[in-house]
Amino acid sequence: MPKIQTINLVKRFEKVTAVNRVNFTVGDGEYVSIVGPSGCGKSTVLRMLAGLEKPTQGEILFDGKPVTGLLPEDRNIGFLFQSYELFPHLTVGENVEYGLFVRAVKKADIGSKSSELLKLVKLLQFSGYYPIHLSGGMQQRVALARALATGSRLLLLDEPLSALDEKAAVMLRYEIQKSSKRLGLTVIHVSHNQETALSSSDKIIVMRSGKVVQSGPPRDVYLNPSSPYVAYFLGDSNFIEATVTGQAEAEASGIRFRLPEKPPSRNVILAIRPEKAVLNDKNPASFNAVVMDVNFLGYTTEYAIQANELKLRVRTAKHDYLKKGDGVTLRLPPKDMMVFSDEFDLSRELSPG
Amino acid sequence: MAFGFSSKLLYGFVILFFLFIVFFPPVYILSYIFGGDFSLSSDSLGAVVNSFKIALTVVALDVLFALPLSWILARKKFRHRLLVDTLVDMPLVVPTSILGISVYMFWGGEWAASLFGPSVHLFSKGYWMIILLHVVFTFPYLVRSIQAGLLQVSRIHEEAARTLGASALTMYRTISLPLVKKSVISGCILAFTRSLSETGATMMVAGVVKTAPVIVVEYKNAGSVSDAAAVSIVLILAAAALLVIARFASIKTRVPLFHVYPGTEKFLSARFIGVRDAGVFFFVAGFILLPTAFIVLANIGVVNASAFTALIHNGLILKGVVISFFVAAIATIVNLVFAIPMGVIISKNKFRLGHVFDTLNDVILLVPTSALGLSLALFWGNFEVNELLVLVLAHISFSFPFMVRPVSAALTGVNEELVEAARTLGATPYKSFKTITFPLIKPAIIAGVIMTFMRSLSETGATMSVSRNIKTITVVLVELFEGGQVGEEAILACILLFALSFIFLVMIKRSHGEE
Amino acid sequence: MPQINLVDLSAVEGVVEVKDLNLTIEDGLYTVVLGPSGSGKTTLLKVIAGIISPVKGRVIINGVDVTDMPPEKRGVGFFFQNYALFPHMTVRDNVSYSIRLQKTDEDLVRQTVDEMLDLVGLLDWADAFPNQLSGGMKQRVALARALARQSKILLLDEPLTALDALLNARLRSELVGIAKKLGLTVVHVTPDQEEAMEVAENIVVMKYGRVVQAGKEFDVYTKPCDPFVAYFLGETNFLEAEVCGEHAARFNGKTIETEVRLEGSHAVLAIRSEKIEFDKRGVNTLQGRVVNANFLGSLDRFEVDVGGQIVTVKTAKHTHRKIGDLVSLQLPPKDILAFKDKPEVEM
Repeated sequence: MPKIQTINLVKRFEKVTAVNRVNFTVGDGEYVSIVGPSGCGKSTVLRMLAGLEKPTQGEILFDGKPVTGLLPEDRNIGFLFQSYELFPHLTVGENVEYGLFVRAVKKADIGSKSSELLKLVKLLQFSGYYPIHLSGGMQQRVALARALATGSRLLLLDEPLSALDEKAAVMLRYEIQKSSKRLGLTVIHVSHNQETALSSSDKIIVMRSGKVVQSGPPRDVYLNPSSPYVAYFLGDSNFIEATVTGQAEAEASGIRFRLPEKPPSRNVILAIRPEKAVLNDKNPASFNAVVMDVNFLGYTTEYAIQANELKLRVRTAKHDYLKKGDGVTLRLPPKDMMVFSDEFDLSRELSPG
Repeated sequence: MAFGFSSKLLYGFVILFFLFIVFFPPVYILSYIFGGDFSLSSDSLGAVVNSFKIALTVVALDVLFALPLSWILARKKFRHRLLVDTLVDMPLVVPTSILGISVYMFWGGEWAASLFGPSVHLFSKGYWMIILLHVVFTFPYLVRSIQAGLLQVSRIHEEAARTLGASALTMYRTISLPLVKKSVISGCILAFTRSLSETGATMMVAGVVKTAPVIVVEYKNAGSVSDAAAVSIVLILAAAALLVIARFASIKTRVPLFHVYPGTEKFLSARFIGVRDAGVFFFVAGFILLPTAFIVLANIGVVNASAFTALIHNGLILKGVVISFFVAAIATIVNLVFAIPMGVIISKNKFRLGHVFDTLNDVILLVPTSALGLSLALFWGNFEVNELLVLVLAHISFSFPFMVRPVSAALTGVNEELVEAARTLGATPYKSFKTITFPLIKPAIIAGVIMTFMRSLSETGATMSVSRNIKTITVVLVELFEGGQVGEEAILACILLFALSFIFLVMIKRSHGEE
Repeated sequence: MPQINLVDLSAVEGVVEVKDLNLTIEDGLYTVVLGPSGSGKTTLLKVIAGIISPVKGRVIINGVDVTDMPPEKRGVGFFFQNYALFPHMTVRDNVSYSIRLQKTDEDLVRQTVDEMLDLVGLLDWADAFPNQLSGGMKQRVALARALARQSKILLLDEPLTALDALLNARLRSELVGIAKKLGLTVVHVTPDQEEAMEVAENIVVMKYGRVVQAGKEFDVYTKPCDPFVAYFLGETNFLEAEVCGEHAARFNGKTIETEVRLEGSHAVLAIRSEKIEFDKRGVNTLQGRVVNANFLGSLDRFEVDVGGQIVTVKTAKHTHRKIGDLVSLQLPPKDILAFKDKPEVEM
């Protein structure tokens, strides 16, 4: 039985439908990320799971039982907010103990539990400090300890990394992942950052404008996006609008591309990720192109390549290798090519929100 | 960063004005400690004790009902919220003498007799009626204060508490309340000093009970200046001591969390809500709104042509109105001019004196106005200055904080970055004040002007202490009431003033809404 | 075209301090000032704009000492992190504010403003108020407003930080495009090193109010002069080793050969995670066990336990390694850097 299930979940605010019939399941012990641009409804879904918002329609089941009427304090969840929100009038230790305190747990037991968790997040020595003295990353770790102290098996994270410096965010995201695996927790992590979602999750749910667009294991969704939007939102993609010219072939701007399989329509949208395009390999399928710009990104370099009218971005770890104006050959391997039918309107797929 | 009005001369002038006109008068009377016979008769002491007992009871009652009401107004969305919000502020703008008559009519009222039998009064003049009266015009201070504090408390703190297992009641008392501690205390201080200070309406409902401000006026009119001064001094010192203790308490103490009884608190959160809301509604309607509006509700028939004619021919009342408006207008205009630079000094902490002046402004608030009026009369009496001028100075003095507070709060609220942005776009300090800061504080200035005007209009104690001869409308009303001669014209005048207050209140709410 | 010089600059803003700073911003280039929060980068920007007065030192713009000049005379465009849009003015009035201050003719104002709004794609929203706009739109209004002044210098205080990741990535190239089109000198402040790497021509790395390293983006990344720079830009492994030769040190029982010269008895060897190769033959191979594996889309990232120390490896080549696998890592000598200490890092 899934740990969490939503059935046709809807939330309307006056004139806006923020969540539009969302269905998904989360298994026991799974780490699931819900990812999408701001305004896509992901936070609203999470808040409905927590009981902080009431669904307009639809059902939410925890362990098979509906929780729709249940108040947040009765759902036994741990919740992390984007802006950490530690209680400023309580010390770090008292913050962590709060959940146990409101359950009237015995003093002796509270102390040991909170120490255990502060040790887990490596902040035991700050127990007597007030939140205002801690950095953002530290405060969020205290918030994590606080959420776990009640012993709940379900952790809901509402963009917990967004307010942190990049380094702190990356460190914290791995810590959350490791702690939750170690404790066997079920985690639902809402984020607008696709890299965060890809790196930590067992399953990723991509949302847009209130709907679930695709869900599945990160690698699957990344390599087999169901729409140009997903191909664009996760990682990056080059898009080519092409006309089919054969069994497994299409043409755009005078260049022929081999396709991985029979195309779904007469006109297709081809997509290929910048890291998959191959430069200067001696293969008859390569075509000629010119380097328009070079952008060093550190762990990789991005080349803006132009072939006839087509403008493509290509990434490779070889730096200092090509210069602006150089002639190159480029190949787009069919196995890495994503093909979409003309049912998709490319400009709408790529527009924000 | 250098900002606005770089003229040091201007600020110097404003500071001098403040010290001389606004701050010095309340302080002058303290010097009487060192002169002559400073003694406190037992009557005087009794009056002071009465005042404190009343004020403390009033504040306690206020807090009890303000806590749930401010929560409802700050957090709950219900249909007539704006209306309730506006109504709760009514007693702040309506002159207290009118409130006095209204409250007396409601609680002491013959209407109760007509319902329940001829010998039934709900309350008669005296201790408890004073308390009921004071609750009416102090309650809004607490509600506003706590509500403003709650609006600042991040909802996310409260949501976090809920997700951690706290029921609504537990959350409110362990998280929200401790975080608005400062607002609760400042609201209590405002309410307390207002109660301590009120004279005119108290006279109407006190019967034989004497409160300190009332006895100051009596002594002064009887010529016992030193007795009057003694009482005033004791009032000021005791109130100051309380203020210091309260300030200290708000910084140093931590609200202890006590123990949680999850089951009970949960029950109270769920089942009790209806009872709580009903209780609050009943209190507000029955103890605040009805007593306030009763004078209008019960006498609506007075609004007729013949009463109007009588009113226009009533020289006493007309003269009172003219004097009141004249004094209030001058006080408001003068204060407006000086409050803006003072607001700048406080909010921008100019010359590092911001906190000093903020505190001094608060000190003025806690000086009972009768004492203030007395002080000024004594000081200027030495130079035989025209009584009307002294009266105007007195009004300028006690109403100054009512103008400065909203202005400095608004200035603090203006995001500094907006001014910085204007500067980087080429605006000089003056230009940035004119195009950015000033438009953004306009609603606060409007509110300040209205509050100052109405506060001046409302004042009786200071007026009575300054002069026996110059009678503002509120003094006229008090005297008519005491003489049992409140006729149709007087009631009509009250109703008209009441209507004016309501219009002003709506104007304030409107201009805030536009922000 | 302008050039900005900061000479022996010290300034304070709240708890953040900048000390004895010397820096030159090259004209016509896109310079990013990168550092963690509290490093003084925003303070630096505000000093250049004149919003904050320095305690010591001089600010020179285009050869002119502007240290005592108020902000309204300096003529630089400033973009605020929280946009600071005037809430009581429409989009058009916000953008035209600087021009209207000079009281130029109405038609000219309108034309210039419309051009600016068109440049950022907001012409249709000219009469809206800031509270009706989304975050991305407010950002563009703030940008148009800063550009309307037509100054050749543009100072951006974390222009992309408040935007969600998708919008952030999209707008990076727009910012660079506008800068190039208008031939601006840009100083762009950010705590995000990935954002910095994408937009910068020059990078200035700051920490605790000081400039740690400044130079061309490529040079700062490949030749960091301080372990903090190696740590903050990209992802780097730091291995404490005992020096046993001019080009050799012992780590975890193995001898590591380096191209750089080693001095002293003790060294911290640094190598970026994308430079380490799996199962490649050659010198400098280490054995370890995979303890964590993360899919990052275009890359895979692994944490490998090498004799008690965690080494992170990033690779674009698809590999089927999973947690628990034994692997061998190769550290190419040419990619190994050497420092005296590990970076001081606080979380």
